[in-house]
Amino acid sequence: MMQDSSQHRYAPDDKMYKLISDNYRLIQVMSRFGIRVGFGDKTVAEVCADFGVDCDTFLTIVNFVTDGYAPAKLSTHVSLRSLLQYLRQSHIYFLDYFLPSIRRKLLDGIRLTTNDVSFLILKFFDEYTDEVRVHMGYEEETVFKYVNELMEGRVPDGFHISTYSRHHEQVGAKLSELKGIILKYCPQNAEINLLNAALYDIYRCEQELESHCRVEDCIFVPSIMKLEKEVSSNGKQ
Amino acid sequence: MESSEKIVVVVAETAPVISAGLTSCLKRLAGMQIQPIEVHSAEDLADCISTLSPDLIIVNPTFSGSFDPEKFRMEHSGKYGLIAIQSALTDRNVARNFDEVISIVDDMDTIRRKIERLVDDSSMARDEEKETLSQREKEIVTLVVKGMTNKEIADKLFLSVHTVITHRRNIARKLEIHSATGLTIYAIVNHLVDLSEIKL
Repeated sequence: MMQDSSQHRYAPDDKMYKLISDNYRLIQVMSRFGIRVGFGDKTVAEVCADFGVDCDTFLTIVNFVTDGYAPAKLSTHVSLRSLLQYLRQSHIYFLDYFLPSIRRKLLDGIRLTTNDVSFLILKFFDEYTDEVRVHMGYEEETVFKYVNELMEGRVPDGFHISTYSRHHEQVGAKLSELKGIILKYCPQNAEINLLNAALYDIYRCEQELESHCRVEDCIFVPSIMKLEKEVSSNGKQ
Repeated sequence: MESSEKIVVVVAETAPVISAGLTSCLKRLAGMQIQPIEVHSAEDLADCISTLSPDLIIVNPTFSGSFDPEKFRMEHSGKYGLIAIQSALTDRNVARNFDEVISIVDDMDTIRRKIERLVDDSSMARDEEKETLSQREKEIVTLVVKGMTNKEIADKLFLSVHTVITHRRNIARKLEIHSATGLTIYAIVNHLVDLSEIKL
């Protein structure tokens, strides 16, 4: 197959090990596709085959995360099934693992005692988590369901992917508000190392959420738009 | 869009030393949240514009043969500013039709000034008036935190609802706090209210 994204960094016959040693953040991408470490000296294509992952989709995300931008005509190489799996796993990671783990560190760090402010900081965090949960729930319930219908060849009424795009801005903004609040107003009796660990995680979470949203905006949404076009033109024939 | 927005800057330069050097300088500009992205081909540059809507494009005037800003703007619509990178070898005239020129011998302050001039000033202007709330704004924070609606605040302070909303918008911008819980934290730390006065 002609790879017109040849100038992008990684290709199917690169060693998986090399990808990760170049950029450890790709561990996240790998694991969201369901690939586990311990892959020996296999190439990207071989590892993907072992785990039943579409290699082009995997590389599209890998190169996107590495370069920071997506090829404009990417959609031909993207398997929506693999992409959906990736996005679902990302949601599970944030909601069931990362945010709860930050909450625990925060709770230990701010030493929730009688102090009003530490209580409010935790309340703020919980409100934020709820918002992320609602947002991701909406994606699962509405957007992914819609995409599943499309993949079956049906165009459901009343929703288009354009309704959904540009939905993202607030998710990151609120986290940077939380950072500001902790930096400026955190009570002085906090356990400093634990609090710092929580802060580091919040910065990292903000970056990862941003990257996640950009995958949705730059790869997922364009792929769906293309599919919408295909399905509705098939319907007319 | 007023919270600490990142400035997306695409660096289109084929010489890796210049590209990496400029990128590293951009990341070091204090007080500016710059997200630099390096591209090395015309195709990558086009991809970047369509998927990222960058704020600035810093480009070598000899990029992919020769780079014509006017033609480029026609082919790629967007609100980006175009900056030429001027290396010692670049002819001065090639930099015409760019919004700005950054020379490889510019110092950091000069680079910063040139970028600031082109980036939407809303993200920069904040710096000067940050943080300090007026007496009236503090009063309004107190009432918001106590759970009053805009209408109730307006009645109590003899203001129009419209004015209250304007104040609230300015408060959010100055403090970079948009949520009720965040405002409550601000109010307690700054002794505007006591926890006993607010219902959570």
